[in-house]
Amino acid sequence: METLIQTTLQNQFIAAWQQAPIDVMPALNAERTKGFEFFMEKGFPTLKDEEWKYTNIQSALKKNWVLNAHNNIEIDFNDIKQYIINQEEHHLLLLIDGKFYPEYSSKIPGAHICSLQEAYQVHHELFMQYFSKQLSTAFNAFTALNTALANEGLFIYVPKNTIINKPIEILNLNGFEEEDVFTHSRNLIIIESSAELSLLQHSHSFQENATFTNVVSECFVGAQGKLNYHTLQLENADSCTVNTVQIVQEKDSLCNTSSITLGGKMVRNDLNFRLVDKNCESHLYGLYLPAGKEHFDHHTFVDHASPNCYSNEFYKGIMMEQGTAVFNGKIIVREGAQKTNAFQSNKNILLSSEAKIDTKPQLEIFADDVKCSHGATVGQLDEEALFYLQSRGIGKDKAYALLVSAFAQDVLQQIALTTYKTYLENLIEHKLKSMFKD
Amino acid sequence: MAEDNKLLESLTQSEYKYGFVTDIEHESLAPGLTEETVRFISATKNEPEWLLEWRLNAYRHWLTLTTPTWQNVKFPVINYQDIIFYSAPKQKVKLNSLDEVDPELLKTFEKLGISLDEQKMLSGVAVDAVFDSVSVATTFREKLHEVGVIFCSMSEAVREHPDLVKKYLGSVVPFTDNYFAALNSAVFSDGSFCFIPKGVRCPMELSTYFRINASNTGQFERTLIVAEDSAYVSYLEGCTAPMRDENQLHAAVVELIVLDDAEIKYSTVQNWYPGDKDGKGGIYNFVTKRGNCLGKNSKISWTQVETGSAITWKYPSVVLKGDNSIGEFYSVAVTNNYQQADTGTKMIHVGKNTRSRIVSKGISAGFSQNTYRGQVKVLKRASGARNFSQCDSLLMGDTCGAHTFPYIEVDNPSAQVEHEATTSKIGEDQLFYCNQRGINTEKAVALIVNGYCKDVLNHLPMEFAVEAQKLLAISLEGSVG
Repeated sequence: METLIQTTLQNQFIAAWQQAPIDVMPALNAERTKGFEFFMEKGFPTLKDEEWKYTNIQSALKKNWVLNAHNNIEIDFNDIKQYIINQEEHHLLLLIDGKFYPEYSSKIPGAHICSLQEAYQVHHELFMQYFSKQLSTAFNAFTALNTALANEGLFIYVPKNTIINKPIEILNLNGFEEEDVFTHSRNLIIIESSAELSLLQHSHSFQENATFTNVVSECFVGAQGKLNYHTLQLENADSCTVNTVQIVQEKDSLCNTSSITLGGKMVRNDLNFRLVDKNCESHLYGLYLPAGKEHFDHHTFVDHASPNCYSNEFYKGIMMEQGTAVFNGKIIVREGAQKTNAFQSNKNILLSSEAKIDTKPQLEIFADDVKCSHGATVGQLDEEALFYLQSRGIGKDKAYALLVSAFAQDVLQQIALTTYKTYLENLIEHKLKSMFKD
Repeated sequence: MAEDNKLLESLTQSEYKYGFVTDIEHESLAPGLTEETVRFISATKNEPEWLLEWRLNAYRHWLTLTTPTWQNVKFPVINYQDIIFYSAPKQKVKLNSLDEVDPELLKTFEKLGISLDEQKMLSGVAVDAVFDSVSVATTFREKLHEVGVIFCSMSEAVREHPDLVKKYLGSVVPFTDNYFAALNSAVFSDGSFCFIPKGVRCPMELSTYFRINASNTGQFERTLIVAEDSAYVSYLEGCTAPMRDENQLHAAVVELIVLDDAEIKYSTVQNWYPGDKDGKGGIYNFVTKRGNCLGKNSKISWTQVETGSAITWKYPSVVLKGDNSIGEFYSVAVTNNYQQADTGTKMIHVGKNTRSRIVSKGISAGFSQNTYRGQVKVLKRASGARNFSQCDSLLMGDTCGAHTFPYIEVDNPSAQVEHEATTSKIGEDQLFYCNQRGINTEKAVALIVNGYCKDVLNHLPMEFAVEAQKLLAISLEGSVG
């Protein structure tokens, strides 16, 4: 039965591939064929695959997924207003099931923003220079499929010396279709030298129905460029996401990322950094709070390919109810990447006997003049701190919630956008409240 | 002070000092592995039917397996049909005293520094010397016999204590465990068996010297140590092997079983031929070592100093089944020139309030690759489990690599697991400090490395600690430019 459903999904991929209008983005055909052939040969990963050891993707695929045809959708702006964090302080870009809707999006001075297909036409040379050129890792089933089948997505281009004045809020709303759709979308973000951009991307489920989103984003940060990239995932308990983000940093560039996962049945994040030239700085922050039967998987990969770079990674997890999480952080320091400083820390607390965490911090080092460290801990809330609070008249559940949000604060305080931070704090409080009823 | 002088002396000898071949008649089987080989080995050793059956099952299982590929070491495909699976020094009569032992053999032992004589007795070490695949002489048998400790070769144990062997053999490492465990179970030639009965504290440290001698002979040792309730034993394993150009495979299995309140301390100094400066030759050391803390309040402690072998690939592990049991792993792994190491440990927490501690120090120099791979797994039932892991890597030179792959899997909310790892090189300020005080760079490095490894070396028995210090210095010779 399972195999039957999966075959149906696979048949849809094959049909989509065969029907794909070759004139949409013809120059990509060779790359797309490569991707499709890779997928047909390897198929979806299983638990035997080292990178998918702790995330059972097969069970997430076990549903009657319908491949998203990206039909145009009529939107009533009033329906989606409630999802926007702040329209005054942020520019807004709207993506519905991975497809860009410019009519509901802000015009942003200095930046070139359009859909993937438009970018292919308008910024053809730039597009071809960057599209699918610098993935850190060879294809996996999802990136390969995405390369082969994604026609929709967002293109952001910030030219040389341009600083975008306000953070850009990218609102991803999924699940507008009647069926449970399987969506591919692809984003390409190019920041030229000495340009600056702040992105705040958050994903929500619009309706009750389930979605499977396979999204790949490629970001290029030019010399002395700066990118802040914050993501928040908050979808319903039936929806699955495989989100691959590839960031390539040129000389003297700076990149800050934060990745907050608060909702979804199965969420897999692959965040890959390549530091291709000297003096790059990268910060990676993450927070995940699986509850119910949620499963969140964070894979990060920092590739120190050149000397004098600095990377710092800090991920925290709070596992509640039957929530499970995976953290896999990999740092490679390549030969010749001397004077590298790379740090990584992953801290977890388990709050229920059915919660589970698998963490695997990895270091692979091929240069000698480096300072690298990683640490991982798994534990629970401090009994003494709990007692302290309770002895001062704070109820047990409230004390729990207090300590948990304090644990989460370590990551939240790294986020410089105050409105967004407050928004997150409220969300987390809300999620904790449902766990610890006073 | 005397130790320091010896250290300096050893530092000046750059060649592998244990490289020689003893010329003794061998009774070797033609190279190759078939069901017949397994039957031959079993028949030669007059083994009972059940053991032959067990070997054959293992062999048939092995045929269904393929060599693993996940490891972080590279080696050419091994052709198992080129390996001689059995080689024993020719010896027909059972010996009672050393006088009867082939003098040629004794000389070899002396060169190795293993003298089966008064000196060893004074230092309180019983030696069960394994020369190639058969134990030829065992000392201190009587003293051990008095307290009821059984310490003999595996073949002898099969003959004289078949019930014990049958009960425990393969209970920790079943032949289905992995590729090399299956191979070993099929063709193991000999090994050591040690049984400490209830309430006995073994009066001396037990020690086995392994030595690979015959060219092209894979060594398939099998060690089984059982400590009954409240028993204690400290077991030492040390290795040297002669210089050879062809790679030699060593796939041993070590099984430890501890019952209630018992403890086994297992220490290894491994100094097999690492290959020459260009990475030619050397031993492949693919060993499966695992202990099972079956009883409550039991303890297993692995201490290892790995300086030799072209490739070291092993994970001495502890399954913490009994409540309140403790597993420890202390390791120093040094790789130089073209050596490769992928080593670490597994701590599987099954019982309540189980504790484990991992301290791993890796040192890589030259063109070598040094990997720590470890797993800490806390199962659902293991409430109150506690683990602390620390793995540090030291890099010398810009052509070597240091890698860490810790797997932490926690399924119980009351567990506390901590892991930390660092990678760095020897501080220039430390070197400068030594140089300034008239200590040359080479000596300074030896000094700093010994300090870096102190946490592990402290856990070795005294004699071993001294040897290990020397080994560290010798292994790193010439790595400082």
